[in-house]
Amino acid sequence: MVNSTNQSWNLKAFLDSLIFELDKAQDTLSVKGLNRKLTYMVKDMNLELQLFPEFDGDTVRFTTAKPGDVGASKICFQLGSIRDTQIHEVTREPITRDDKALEDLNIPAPQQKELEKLGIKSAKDLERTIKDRNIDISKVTDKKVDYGNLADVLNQSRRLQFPPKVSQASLAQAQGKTVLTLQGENLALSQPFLSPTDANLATAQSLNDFPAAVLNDRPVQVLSASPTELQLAIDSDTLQGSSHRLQVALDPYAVFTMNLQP
Amino acid sequence: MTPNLDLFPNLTEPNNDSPLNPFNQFIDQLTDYEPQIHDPETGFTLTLEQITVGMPIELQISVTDDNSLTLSSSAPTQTTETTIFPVFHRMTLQIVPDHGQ
Repeated sequence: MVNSTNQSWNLKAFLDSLIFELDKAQDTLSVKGLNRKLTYMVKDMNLELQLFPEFDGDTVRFTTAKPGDVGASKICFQLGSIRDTQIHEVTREPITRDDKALEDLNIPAPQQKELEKLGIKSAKDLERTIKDRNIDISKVTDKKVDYGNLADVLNQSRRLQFPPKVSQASLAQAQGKTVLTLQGENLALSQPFLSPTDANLATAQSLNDFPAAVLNDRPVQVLSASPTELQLAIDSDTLQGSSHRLQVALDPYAVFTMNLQP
Repeated sequence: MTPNLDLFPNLTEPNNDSPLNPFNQFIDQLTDYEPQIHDPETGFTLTLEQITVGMPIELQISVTDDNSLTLSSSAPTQTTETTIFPVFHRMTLQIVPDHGQ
């Protein structure tokens, strides 16, 4: 529904709408092209708008001048057509499944805005900037971005690329203990893999406490942990009954729950 | 006989609710030309290779509930200056044949 009042708008919304309208016009022309030998297209567009810009300390918004208004600023937009190959060259790749958009990460809003200003839109962008290009985000953002948070974000991103998978669970007796063995992939990742090498980055939680497990809400001793196998010492008393709930935290970023049945 | 050089053959009438049309329709009107204009009596044939349209426009930018914008536009609906006179923005379009490249 369209609001009737003369509301302010931001530049991105305007350009999105303008490009949408031009695409729509181009679609109509394409259909005409099926019936005509030659159609025309808009190669360049130049718009000079009478606007009132306003800055709220964070973003710039514009209000369109309405009849009777005086003193409006003239803002010029120049749009040129580009080829699809150029689009591939200049546009950023869409966020992939194994990545997370910045707004989906647990970063405080002010820090998120600072990162967006730097063109960082996803966890992978963040990792590329800090790790691969060795850029000191704290200096660039005038210490507005907290490194502790970023370490967690980077680890979340890395963990997403290697999600844990349990393919088999078995019970056995060994050295007088009942041992539950879980086999699969990416179960316990090595600490260097998860903890950042950058000295400025510090995880909120110590990785030494992981993996950890509880069976029917009672702590379980972890005998060994590797990427493909996890061995848990089970108290045989807790295995009474028909169904058992096993919760395993492989690290702060990978927690899973299993229902075990005899 | 004068050759037909009417470059805006399909200019549609504005609707009854608003004198402004959706922006894409406005662009459609400005890019809808006959590819060749031929006068059988004189034998003159005109082919348009490039058109540059510079004109004042009326533009309404409305904000919808989901914060997207709706653009409506038109050529000036009023030329006689009155107390409340529409705001004219300016648009320049460079229009070229679409060879499907």
